This record gives sequence, structure tokens and C-alpha cells, in this order.
Amino acid sequence: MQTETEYIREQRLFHGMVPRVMGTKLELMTVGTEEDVARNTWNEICADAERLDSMLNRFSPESEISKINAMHGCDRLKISSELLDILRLSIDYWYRTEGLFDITRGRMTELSLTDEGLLTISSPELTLDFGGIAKGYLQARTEAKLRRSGAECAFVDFGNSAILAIGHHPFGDSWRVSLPNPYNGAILDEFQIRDRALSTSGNTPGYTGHIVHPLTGKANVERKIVSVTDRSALDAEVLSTALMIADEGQRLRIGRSFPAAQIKTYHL
Amino acid sequence: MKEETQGVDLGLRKFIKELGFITGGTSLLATAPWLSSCTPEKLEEIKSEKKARVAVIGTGSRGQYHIHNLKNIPHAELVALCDIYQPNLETALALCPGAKTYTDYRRLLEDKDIDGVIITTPLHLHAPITLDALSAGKHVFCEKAMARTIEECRAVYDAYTKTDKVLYFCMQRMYDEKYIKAMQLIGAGLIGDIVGMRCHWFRNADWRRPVPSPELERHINWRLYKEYSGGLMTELGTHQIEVCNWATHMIPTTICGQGGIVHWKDGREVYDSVNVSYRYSDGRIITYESLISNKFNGMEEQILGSKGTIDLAKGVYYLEEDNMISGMRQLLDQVKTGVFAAIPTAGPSWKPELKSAYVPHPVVEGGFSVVGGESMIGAAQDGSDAILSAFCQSCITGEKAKDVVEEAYYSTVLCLLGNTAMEENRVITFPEEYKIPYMKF
Ligand SMILES: NC(=O)c1ccc[n+]([C@@H]2O[C@H](COP(=O)([O-])OP(=O)(O)OC[C@H]3O[C@@H](n4cnc5c(N)ncnc54)[C@H](O)[C@@H]3O)[C@@H](O)[C@H]2O)c1
Repeated sequence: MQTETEYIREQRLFHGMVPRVMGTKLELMTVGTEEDVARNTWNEICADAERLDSMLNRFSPESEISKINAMHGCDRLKISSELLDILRLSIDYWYRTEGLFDITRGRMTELSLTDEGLLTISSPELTLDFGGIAKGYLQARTEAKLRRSGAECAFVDFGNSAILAIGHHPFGDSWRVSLPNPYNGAILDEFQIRDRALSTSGNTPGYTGHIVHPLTGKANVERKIVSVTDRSALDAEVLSTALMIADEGQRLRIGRSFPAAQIKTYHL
Repeated sequence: MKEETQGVDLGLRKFIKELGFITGGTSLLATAPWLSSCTPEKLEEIKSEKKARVAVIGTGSRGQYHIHNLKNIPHAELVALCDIYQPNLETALALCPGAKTYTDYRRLLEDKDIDGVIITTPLHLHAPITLDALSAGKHVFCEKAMARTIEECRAVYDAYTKTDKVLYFCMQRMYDEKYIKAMQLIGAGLIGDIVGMRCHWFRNADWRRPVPSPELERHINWRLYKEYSGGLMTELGTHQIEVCNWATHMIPTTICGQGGIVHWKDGREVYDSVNVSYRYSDGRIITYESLISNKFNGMEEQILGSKGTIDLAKGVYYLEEDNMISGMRQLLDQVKTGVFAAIPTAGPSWKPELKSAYVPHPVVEGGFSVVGGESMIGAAQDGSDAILSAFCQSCITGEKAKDVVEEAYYSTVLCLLGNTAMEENRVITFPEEYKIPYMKF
């Protein structure tokens, strides 16, 4: 995997960038961490990203997901333990979002897991898509790695839509991030985040209709953005997607079951 | 007494004022020198003088469009109309009942009460009427393109260099705020070095107008016949080639292309599909396309730079280096320099290296233009009103608008050469005898 890094000793500033992974770009900045620690952590994060990408990428025929999808149904299939974890998380989120967050696009009832973790898919049409959770999952693991490394000031930008702020900016008490309106560049909002993740979902002039309502099958094409900040990067990621297609009642109920989340909706 | 504050082109004048204020006027004059003849200060000076008395020759659809705009120009008075086709003359007269009417433009030119004429006839008459009007001592505002042939273009240009009358061609993009602003941004280096240009105008319509009786076919559908029209190149291409030269400050040296009648095989003579490429001496290329049986691509004028792209027609620009990279860059710079500020990084997922991943930024504050280029008459507030107002102002002051004729000259000659290149299927080198002292090759 192609990566670029730089370290500036005076500020103990590390910057790492992967131009392309999971369909987007990943960037990390840490301040105050020693060079060898920062570089080791970055290498672990990159290895993690690469491994998850090759496991969850639907467009690569070699990935575990593609192999499962190519079976068009399966009976008590043994899957890797990490995929099992992600699957369990996804099912849990499906319940907590009243079915709006759905890795099966409306066919969750045709999927089941045994207590031992064996996967059964009873419909040949069911395909798995972890696109809505993969980035959050990687962010959560990245956060754990950074904390283990002792990082106190770190900022992770994963394709703009998933941002993670650990500690604070070296010259401030938080990290400040603004949200431009993708239709005209005007700033819609500013977030001051500290030890929180910020996830943003929505449509843009060039990329619209990528969130599909699992129950109606309709692509959402509203000029709308949902931003969620939460302590958990996973919760934030899942919520920003699910709330793009939630109705008013669902929005309120789902919001209550994620009490740490701060949710904002922008109609553009 | 009520102050005269109404005016169609107030927006542009306000814009000139603001720009003049911000940049001391120098950048504006470097970008659009023709605006110096119509500054708000100069307009103020002529307030007490009598109005420009103007006449419209050719009162078809574009003529009527200008008549509507003239009504909103406080320093203009429409005194006469001329057309050889009675129904159009009558429709126009209904718009301005007091005006005198003529059916022969030569008689109109004898009228001493007329300061300037607005020529909106079919293309083949642009040069003859312009030349006659200038020799009759009238100021002239003529529609684009300049003329039907390159010989006529040269004759008009030569006449212009000898006359003390003002001459305008309706290249309205030169007076359109979003184009001027975009050219300033290009000049300021926003998109880096210009490396190429892609312009196109796609519509899905046959370009025909209904004909009340068959013998009027060629008169009404003049656009479709070579005797009167240069087809898509002169009708649409002129505007778009003009902005490319405006952006590069150069004139292309070689021209090649192909065209044909692909879909509208209805007896027309002009191509309904053209594809011409213009190469500058330094290797840069304008790719020009127009097709009128598919409108998917709409109208665009893309100036491609090493650091970004400006679509002049839409008034938006895109940067090669997207927000996200610059967001992290900004953050790194902040940490290096001890600054704590927000970075514009949040947003829906970023996709690398796709056209769709580019974020559009408006050239003029307040959003994007929605001009689709489908109208055959003209869009509102596209600069046509401002250039007409500038002409009326010149009729009073006698001050020529710098470079307007030169821009129209080169864009028209290039479009006509494009036609020759397509018809004769050869690569054309810009002929020496048609070079004028304006810009470099
Ligand atoms: N700048 C722009 O964006 C723009 C837009 C539309 C049209 N135009 C230009 O305006 C011109 C007119 O186009 P249009 O669509 O109005 O055409 P049109 O056919 O509607 O109008 C032309 C008029 O000229 C009249 N005419 C013909 N011969 C004449 C003569 N000898 N004396 C007097 N009148 C005569 C016709 O009877 C007709 O009424 C064209 O050159 C066209 O390229 C420019």
C-alpha cells in the first residue's frame, strides 16, 4: 500500500497519508508523540486498513465478502472471527436503528447466526455490504491503537466523512472542524471536538443517491447532510447513515437510544 | 425629484465599482479593458446630456430582445425600427409605439435624428449594414458573429480603424460579471497555468422556426443555409472561442476539424454536428464541439489549468487539490505556525480521482448560474443588457470600447476558418493577411 509520511522533530509532529484505501483517503496527524512510536502506530493502522479493505471490499473478487456473496446463499458457513464480530455489530445496529442501518438492503430476516457463529443465508439474492460500517470500525480500532501508544493530540481524517479527534489541537483546547456546503462551498457549521468522532453523510452535486432505504429500495436524493458527533466512532458512522433516511419519528426514537450522540441535519 | 436608479446593467456597474475599490482598478482594467468606457463615474457625467437616439435594424427575435432591454436603459431612446418582413416590424412597433419605421435600412441611415444603430439581421447582412452605417456617420452595435466571410471581417476591421464612430459586437460574455470575475481568478493564478480548453454547446432541437408559407423558408430559417449563416460555429462557437482567447491572451495558429449533418437531414446545408480543434503556437489546444441532437452535455466552457478548472459558463471552479488535502495541509501549517483555527474538512465521503469528486466553488458569491444554453434568443442578465447599455453610453460620449471589435474579429475569423477546415478536411494555418495588431499568436 502506498503511503506518505513526514515527521518534524521540533514540534514532534507526525503526518501520515494513504491516498487510497477503502475507496477514499486516510490521513493521521499526531503531535507530541516520539517519532518511532508515531511511525509504529501509523504502520499498524495502515496494516489494519489494508487487511480490512481486502476482507470487506465487495469489488475485489478475492475478498471474504465477495466469496460469500458469490455463493448466493449458504448454510452454517464458518467465517473469520473478525468478520463475525463485524456481522454481530451490524445486526445489533440494525435493531437499534429500527432496520434503517442494514448491511443486507432489506433482507436481514433471511440471515441468521448460530450460537457458535456459523452463518446461514437463506436467500440467493441477499448480498452483504459493509460499506456503511467499515470506516467506523477502522476508526474505532485506530482510536484504540492511538490511545495505547499514549497519543494525547491526534487527528484522523478518513475521507472527510469520518473524523476522529483525540485530545486537542496543540494550540487550543479542542480540534476545530468546519463543514462546507458541498453545493456552494459556504460554511454550514463548525464543530469543536475533543475525544469524539464526527461522521457526516449526505449527497453532493457529483455523488447523489448512494444511500438506499432498505425497506423501500429507494435511493435517497435529498439535498441534505447529517452530521453526528459521538464518543464512539462506530456509533457516529452508523447513525449518520441511518438518519439520512429516517423519518421524524424514527429520528427522535433512534436519537434517544444513542444518548451520547449529537445529531445535526442540514437541508441544503 | 425621483432619482434615476433603475437600469438593467446596474449589477455590472456596481460590480465594477466594488472591484475598482478592492483592486484599485488595475486588475479589472487588465482583465476587461473595455469596461473603462462604461464606469459608473462616466455614466454620472452624462446624466444631464441628451439620450442616445438609437434604431434597431432587423426586428426579429434578437432585435425584440434588445428592444426590451433598451426600455430599461435610462440613457437610451429608441427612435426607429427597420425590417423587410412586415410581421416582425409590426410586433416590434407594438413594443415601442412611438418609433419611426423603415423597410429599407439605407433610408433609415439617412435619418439625422439617429445617433446609433443596432443590427440584428441574419449574419450575411452584418458586414454590409455595418459598413454602410459607419460611412453614414452612425455609431454601430452589431450582433455577433462579425460577418459571414473572413474577407468581410477584414473589411469591417479596416473600416473600424479609420472611423471615429464607435463599433460594438454583441459578445456579451465580455460584460458578464461571472466571466470577468473568473478571468480575474485565472489571472491571479487560481487554476495554475492554463493547459487546455474544452468548450461545447449541445442542444436537442432542430434549430428551425415555423414558416407561414414555403417561399419564406430561407428568409426565416436563414440559420440553416450557407448563403446567410456559418452554422453552429458562427452562431454558437464565436462566443466560446472568444472566451478561450480572452483567457489565454493568445490567438490559435492551426485549425482542424470534422463535421456533418448527422440527425436533422431536412434539406439544411449547415452541419448539425461539429468538432473543431484549435492549437496555439505553444501547443495548447481548444477542443470545440457542438451537436444539436443530444443535449446531455449542455453548454460548458472549461478552462483547464494545472491546479484547477473553471467552467466559465456555469461560473464554477474546481481545484485539482481537493478540500480534504488542503484541510489537512491547513492543519499542518497551523501546528507549524502556532495557529488554532477551523479546517474545512468535514463532509460527505470524498472519492478520489473521479470527476464527480471535485467540489464546485462559485466564481461569484451567492451561487451558480443555471444558464443551460437552450434558448435561441438569449438568457436574462447574461451581459447582453450591459453591453447594449455600454454602447448607448458610447453613443453619447463617442468613446470606443477597447478591444471589443478585436475580440469579435478573431473569434469570428477562427470560427469561419473552422468551417473551412471541416468542409475541406484539412489543417489550416491562420493566414498572415488576416492577422491584426491584437494579442500574440
Ligand atoms: N448574442 C447572442 O447571444 C445572440 C442570440 C441570438 C441571436 N443573435 C444574433 O442576432 C441576429 C438575428 O438573429 P435572430 O434570431 O433575431 O434572427 P431572426 O430571423 O429572428 O431576425 C432577423 C430579422 O432580420 C430581418 N431582416 C432580414 N433582412 C433584412 C434587411 N435587409 N433589412 C432589415 N431587416 C432584415 C428579418 O426579417 C428578421 O426579422 C443573428 O446574427 C444572430 O446570430 C445573437
